[in-house]
Amino acid sequence: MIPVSRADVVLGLLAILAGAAILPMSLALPSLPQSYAGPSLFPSLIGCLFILAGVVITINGLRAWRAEKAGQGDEASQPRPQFAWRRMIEVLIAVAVFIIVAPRLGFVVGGFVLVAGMLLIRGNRWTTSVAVALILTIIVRWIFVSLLKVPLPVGPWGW
Amino acid sequence: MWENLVGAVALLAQPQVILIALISAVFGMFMGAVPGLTATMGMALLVPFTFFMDQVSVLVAVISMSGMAIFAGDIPGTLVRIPGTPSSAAYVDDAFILTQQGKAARALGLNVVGSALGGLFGALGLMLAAPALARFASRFTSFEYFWLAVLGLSATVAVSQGSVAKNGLSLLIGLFLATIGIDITLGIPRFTFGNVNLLSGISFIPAMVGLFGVSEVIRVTMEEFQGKEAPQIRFGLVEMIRNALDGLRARVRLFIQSGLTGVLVGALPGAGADIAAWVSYGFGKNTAKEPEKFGKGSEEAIISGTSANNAALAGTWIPALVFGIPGDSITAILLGVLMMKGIRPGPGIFENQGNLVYAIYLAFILANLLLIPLGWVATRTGLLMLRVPKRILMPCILLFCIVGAYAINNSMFDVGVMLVMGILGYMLQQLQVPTAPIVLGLILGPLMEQNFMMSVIKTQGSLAMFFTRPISAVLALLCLAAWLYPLYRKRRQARAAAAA
Amino acid sequence: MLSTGKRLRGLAIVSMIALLSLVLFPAAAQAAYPDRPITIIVPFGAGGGTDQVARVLASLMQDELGVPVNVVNRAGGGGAVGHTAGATAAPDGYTITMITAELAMMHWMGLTNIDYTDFEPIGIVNMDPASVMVAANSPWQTLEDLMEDIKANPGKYRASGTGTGAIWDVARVGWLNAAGLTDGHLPWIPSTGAAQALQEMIAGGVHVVTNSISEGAAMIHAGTVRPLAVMGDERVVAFPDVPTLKEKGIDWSLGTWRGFAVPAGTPADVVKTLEAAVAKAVASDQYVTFMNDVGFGILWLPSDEARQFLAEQDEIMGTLMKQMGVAK
Repeated sequence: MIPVSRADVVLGLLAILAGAAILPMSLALPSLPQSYAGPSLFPSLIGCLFILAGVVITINGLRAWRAEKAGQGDEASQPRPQFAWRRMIEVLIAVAVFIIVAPRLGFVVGGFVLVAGMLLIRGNRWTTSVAVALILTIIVRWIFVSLLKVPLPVGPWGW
Repeated sequence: MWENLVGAVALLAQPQVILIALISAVFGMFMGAVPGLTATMGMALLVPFTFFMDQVSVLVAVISMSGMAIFAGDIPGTLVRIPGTPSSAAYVDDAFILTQQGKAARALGLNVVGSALGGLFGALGLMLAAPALARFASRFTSFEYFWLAVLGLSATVAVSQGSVAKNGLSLLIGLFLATIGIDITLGIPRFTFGNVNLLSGISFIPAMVGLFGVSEVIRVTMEEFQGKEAPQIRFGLVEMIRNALDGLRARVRLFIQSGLTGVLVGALPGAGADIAAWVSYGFGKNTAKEPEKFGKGSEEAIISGTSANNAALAGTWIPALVFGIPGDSITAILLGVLMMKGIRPGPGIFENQGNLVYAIYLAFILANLLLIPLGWVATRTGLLMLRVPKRILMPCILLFCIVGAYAINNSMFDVGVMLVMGILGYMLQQLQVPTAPIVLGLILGPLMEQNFMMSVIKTQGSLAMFFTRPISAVLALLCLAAWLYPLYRKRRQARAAAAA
Repeated sequence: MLSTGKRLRGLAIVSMIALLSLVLFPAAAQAAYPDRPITIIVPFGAGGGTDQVARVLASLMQDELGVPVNVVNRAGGGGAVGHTAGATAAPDGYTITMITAELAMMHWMGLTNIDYTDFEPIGIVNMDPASVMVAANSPWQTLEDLMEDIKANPGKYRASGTGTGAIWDVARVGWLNAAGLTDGHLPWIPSTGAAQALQEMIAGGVHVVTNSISEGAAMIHAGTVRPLAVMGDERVVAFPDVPTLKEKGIDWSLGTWRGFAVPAGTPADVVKTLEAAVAKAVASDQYVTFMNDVGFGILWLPSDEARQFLAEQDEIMGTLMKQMGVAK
């Protein structure tokens, strides 16, 4: 991973990019007749400020980078942002699976698949995973649906 | 007065009333502690039951449920960094960092006692100053609300730690997300890209659950086991109170300031406990002894937030009782119930229905006193969570995140919003961008924009009224102070450092 | 700890279940109606007027139908989200929508393609006329006082109640037109709803609020708001002293209404069953007491009449909204 200073340069550039994307879309929104007020005003301001914040972050990042290069900071000791890509993708898949399964097969099945899957991925035993997932989903359903009357997705069999 | 008090005691001192207070409190605890279920939802779910209750029971049920819910939002926030209600979002990082330092019991004790005392402070405000506060609040127009929103947003500008630009960027993300949906000035959809689900905008509950909860599920590694320093999870009720009072004693001024902020913001129609917590957090940052600790496990931050949001609850009753104007979404539902029960709000309520008004006061006192033992039980139960290995706990928490995001609008789309915000939040945190300002922007962005638009449409474009109306001008000055004071203090510190 | 291979295998199994569910269960199957819980979609937030009416009726219908009837709030987009979700639900009678006046407005604004033809109405259960409300400390005691002042000072006073082009804005324009005035005589200040508009009026920011009288009920009783007229065909039961515009010689009425509907294509016998249940609920003492206490107006139109009513409302709204320039 690259040091924070260089990651900041990337972050700043991304913010500028976001601002550059928001600004034209915002300016295309209408305003009230004969007035600067209207739907377009605030998003346009926000777009401009995105660019401003991005520029400041980029410059700060570049400055820190140069300082590091000049040998003031030991590059190896710089904090490096850690992106745990695998854990991100695991959560992404788990929740996506829930979004697909739950409306069709109900909360109990969807929740069970989600929790059991996540528990397995995170290195628990089969038995623990299945038991915890089963008990948890049933308790959660009982509390929400039966006790608090908060509806959750139902499958073809009513749960 | 005395006969009213005696009458009120007689109304309240009935076994079934006390029982209703207890049941509602436990109900409120659930609604508050589960992310995605809110005090407002609790109130809506309570309505069908109020059909079968008498006047006093209804009052007791609502007061006890809402107070407990607002407190209980702190529990998951402190333990696993997922605020249970939006009112607990402001200081969630502070509370959670204390937990990571093995001080969960102390943080939770502060939450319990701070909330209860804040609630009592609010009740005091309701008793002593309701008519005056209501008259004050009834002078707030869109100009004043605009400044109030700016003041709340200033809470993040007043940073004494981290990069101003990164805090600003985070706030901007929140403000931008808040513009998604139908605009009120022309009724046109913005940034919805033709998606019907986006017409309602990004709901902040799924966003909040994603930013804090899901990002935490991603962050915690498989290797991270608890038990490095076993957190203290057995502590007595008296011990908890004594510890919390120790923490509060050194910060009496901060507590009073937070309680006052809470009552005042609560008394403003349309601004409730969540906005009160943010504004108070911002004030706290500017007046605290150690402002640099805010956001890094500051007890002062917890006190300013947790007491303000509970104080705000009593504040929201003020305009509701005096003018029939709801102070927040809970009292909005409450007003309908009150009318159904033959309680007619109005300036005369204090003379005409004295017993009932005193019963409300007493109910607030009773509910907040109940909060301490019940809160103690709840925190002790909650702390057991820390005993569960993280590799088992985290998947379970993910399920609660999903249920919370889904339940608020019953929409799978919101589960998707939660997921996206979770990944975004995780990445931003790794880049050392704080994520709490995103939630702040989402909550206050619409308040700021809508009131700005109302104001300039009223004045046909002129901005003068923002500064010429007396309350508006005072609020504007407060905002200015909130921006300049940190700079002044930084310079003074630098000078002191140079001199030394 | 498990090896990566085992973890991947777990992942693969989970994905298989997801795929299978996509293929095998496209929609839910069903038996004799109703044999499982019914869901009512409310297109507005918990605690609002629409939500309250829905919840009261839901508890009554539950007794009638013998299955749980759950209220689900799908707020947002000025009602567009909930109405769309309701219209696109399976037409099996297990998802009912509380349709509101916004159904006749949103498609004109281009917010959604959903209109009344996407629904099969079960019945209309409530009608709340718009009103003319002023602050209690304002100089206007009667509608005539206000109208003369507006006529004499065009553009001086301002009204509010909702966002631009939403129902109470339409009510204002219709009222002004019927009285021979123009839109510019009493300009509109957009707000987020009744609470904000009424607060603005108390604080002196706007002068007139045109929301339904039930939304101002608490403040009317508290003596902070004065109702001058209602825009209904008859006076409102809860406020018998407040005259209608028609009594004052202004031929205009408009209100918000609420009803139940199922997606178009729902079997006729299911609609009949629901219609009977709702009819009984609406006639019950609990419903009548609740509506009168809170200040809501009761209007019961069974399925056939409701269908005609929806078409009429759609046309009225379309005409006005085009005239106001808010229709697409």
